[in-house]
Amino acid sequence: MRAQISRCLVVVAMLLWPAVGLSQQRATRVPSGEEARSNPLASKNTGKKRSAGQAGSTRSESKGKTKAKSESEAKSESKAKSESKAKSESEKKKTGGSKAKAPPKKFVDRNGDGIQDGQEHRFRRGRRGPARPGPGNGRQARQRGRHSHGR
Amino acid sequence: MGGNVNRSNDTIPTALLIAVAALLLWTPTAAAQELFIEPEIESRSSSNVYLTRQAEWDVAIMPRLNGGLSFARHWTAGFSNRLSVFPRHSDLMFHRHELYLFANPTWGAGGKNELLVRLSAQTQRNAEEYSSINHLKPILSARLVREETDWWRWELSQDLSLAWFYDDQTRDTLDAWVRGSFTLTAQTRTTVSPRVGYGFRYYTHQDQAVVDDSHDQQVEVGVHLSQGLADRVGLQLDYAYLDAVGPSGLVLQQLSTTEVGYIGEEFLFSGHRAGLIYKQVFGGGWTVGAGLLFETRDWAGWMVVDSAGAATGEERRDRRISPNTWVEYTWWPREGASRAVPEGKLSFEYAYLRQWSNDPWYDTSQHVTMLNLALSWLM
Repeated sequence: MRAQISRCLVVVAMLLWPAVGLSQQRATRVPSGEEARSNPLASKNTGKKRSAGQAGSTRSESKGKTKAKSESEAKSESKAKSESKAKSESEKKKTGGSKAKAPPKKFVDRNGDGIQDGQEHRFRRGRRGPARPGPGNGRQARQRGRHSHGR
Repeated sequence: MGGNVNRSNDTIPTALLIAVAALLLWTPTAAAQELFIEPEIESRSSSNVYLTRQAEWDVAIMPRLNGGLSFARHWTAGFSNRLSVFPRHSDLMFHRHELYLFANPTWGAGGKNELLVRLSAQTQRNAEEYSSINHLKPILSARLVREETDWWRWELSQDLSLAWFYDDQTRDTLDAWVRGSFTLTAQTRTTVSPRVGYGFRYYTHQDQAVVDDSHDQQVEVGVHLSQGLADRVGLQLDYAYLDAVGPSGLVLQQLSTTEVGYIGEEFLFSGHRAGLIYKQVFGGGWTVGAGLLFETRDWAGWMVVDSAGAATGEERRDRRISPNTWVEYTWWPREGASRAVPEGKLSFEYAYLRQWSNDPWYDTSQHVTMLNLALSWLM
């Protein structure tokens, strides 16, 4: 009986340890400021990952209380979560393990149409902003005289 | 209309053509170059081409060709040509050409600050009926934009132009404009941009025996507001007050004529102008928009005549309202596609204009539809 209880405790400890670690890694997995600026979707993805991490943490706490899983299920989950942990550690190395929050995406609207620069459909020539810096970018080159504001 | 002074008009365009051709042939090795060619064709149908009570309709066909070369990092030289043909009113046909050279250095993170200095020469030729407004116009303009922070930028610009009419010397004008504005953008997706401008026009060869008004002035004060309503959806509100500071010398000069011929609408009238614009960008290259424009125009010095041709003693006043809507589709070549594949833009626009005027001849309305196809090769 004691041996069974000991095995159960060991399994529960194995379950709890990677799960808690994973939730911490997920919570700190945020893109760097540069990544957030260059990818318009980065901040949204970050938000989703934070939610997943928080949910994982909640699940691991509830599992710790119920202790109702079979040993085989526990092993397979433990393996999967160990792999996840490895991935999250790899991501942590990539981001330098920074715990800083991603800066909010700046709203820039140079042409005054109420729409974030870079989201309008424009020809490459005459496109504003840092998307295409360099020689002959001619940012003011297109002076077609149609619609000084807006379009 | 006007005098009979004919001038040689070939010297300056030829010189500019040679200069631009030389620039096009010049191949610096140290700097990257970009060659661009942009053909465009637009058709514009109007239910009232003259915007008068006669309401004569026509469809204008307007092919355009722009092209040029960007070189030595900040320089661009190019040309722009446009032909407008009116099948039902051949007397409205005209063609316009421009040669230009500009420098556009940028600095700061992402090139957020910039200076644009542009030198150009335009010429317009009309059919015989409107030959009095054939002209050559050299233009020198400069614009400085400074983006001090992510949320605050300012801009100063000046334009200097000389309109040199081939056949009617008394119309010649020297125009100078100075404009300034600043822009504040909040993270609530709100942008506010007040602006102010001052223009001065000098009639270089006006006949003082006919009109004693050798110059015009105009002040413009306005503000542009925009608000992002959602991702890729914006609403704009623009307001401007124009003050022409007295009667236009051009209008006074032509008091004895039945119609005033002019190019551009600066210096001619005072009034208010307000516009509301909705714009939404969709995926796949689609953009749609709709707008509503209100405008008042008070033409100082333009005396109204009634339907019988008798002077009413009033000056012309117009009130305008114009709703419009448009849709635009833009496509780009796939990554790695041949350079022979152009970018393209196809747009359609409809606008209605109702103009109430105390001059019965100009109390009218107009429907306009526009279909435009533009291509762009960048090499």
